Amino acid sequence: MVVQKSVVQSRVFGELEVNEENIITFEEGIPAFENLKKFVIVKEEGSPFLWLQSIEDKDVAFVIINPFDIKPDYEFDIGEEVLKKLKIESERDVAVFCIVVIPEDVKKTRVNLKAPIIINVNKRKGMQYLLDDERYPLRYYLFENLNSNVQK
Amino acid sequence: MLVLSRKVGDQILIGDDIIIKVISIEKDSVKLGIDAPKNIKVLRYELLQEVKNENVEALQGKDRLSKIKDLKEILSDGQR
Repeated sequence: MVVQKSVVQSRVFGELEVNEENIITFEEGIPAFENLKKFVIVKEEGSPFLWLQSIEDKDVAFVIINPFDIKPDYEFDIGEEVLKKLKIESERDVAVFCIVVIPEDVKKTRVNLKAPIIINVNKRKGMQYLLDDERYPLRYYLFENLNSNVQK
Repeated sequence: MLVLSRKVGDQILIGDDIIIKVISIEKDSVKLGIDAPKNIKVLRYELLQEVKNENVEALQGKDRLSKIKDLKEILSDGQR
C-alpha cells in the first residue's frame, strides 16, 4: 500500500509531515472554527499534552489532554446521534481528548471537561461533543484540582 | 420570529416530532420540557457560546505550554 504523505505548515511545529491516513475529519468543524474540517493529532515526547493541529490553517492548534490522565473517573454516555455521525461501532473505536486553555497566569490552566473531543480512531472521524452534564465543568482548573488530590 | 403566548401545560409542536411543553413559570424563569428524536441536538444556546469562547481562548495558550512542561511530574505527584 502506498502511504500518501503531505507536508503541512504549522506555527508550532514548522513543517509537519502527515500521513493521509492520520488525518481526522471533523465534518462540522469545531465550534468557532466551523470552516476547518481536517486535523491531525501530534504527540510530544515525554509530555501528557498533545496537539490537535488544523491541516487547513497553520495557526489553529489546540493543546489537548487525555481527560483520564487528570480525572480517572471521567465518564459520559455518547448520544446516539454521535455514534451515528462518527460511525462508532464499538468502544474500541473511541478516543477522547479535552481542550486545554492556558491563560497568561499558567497556574490557572484549565481543561474543558464539558465539551470533549470524541474521535473514532478507526474511521478517523471526530467532533467536539457538548455534554449537558452538571458533573463536568467547562473550566476544570488543573492545578487546583491536582493540589487537592495531593492533600488527600 | 414566531412569538407565541402559552400557559402552563400548553405545548408547541415543531415539525412532526418535536414537542415543547411549558412545565412551570416562576418570576423571570420558565421551565420547558423538550421532547425530540434522539438524532436531534437539544442544547442550551449559551453553552455553545461558552464553548466557542473557550476554543478561541485555547489558541492563545500555544506559546505558554512550555511554561508548564514540568506538568508531567506534577501529574504523577497527584496520583501518588
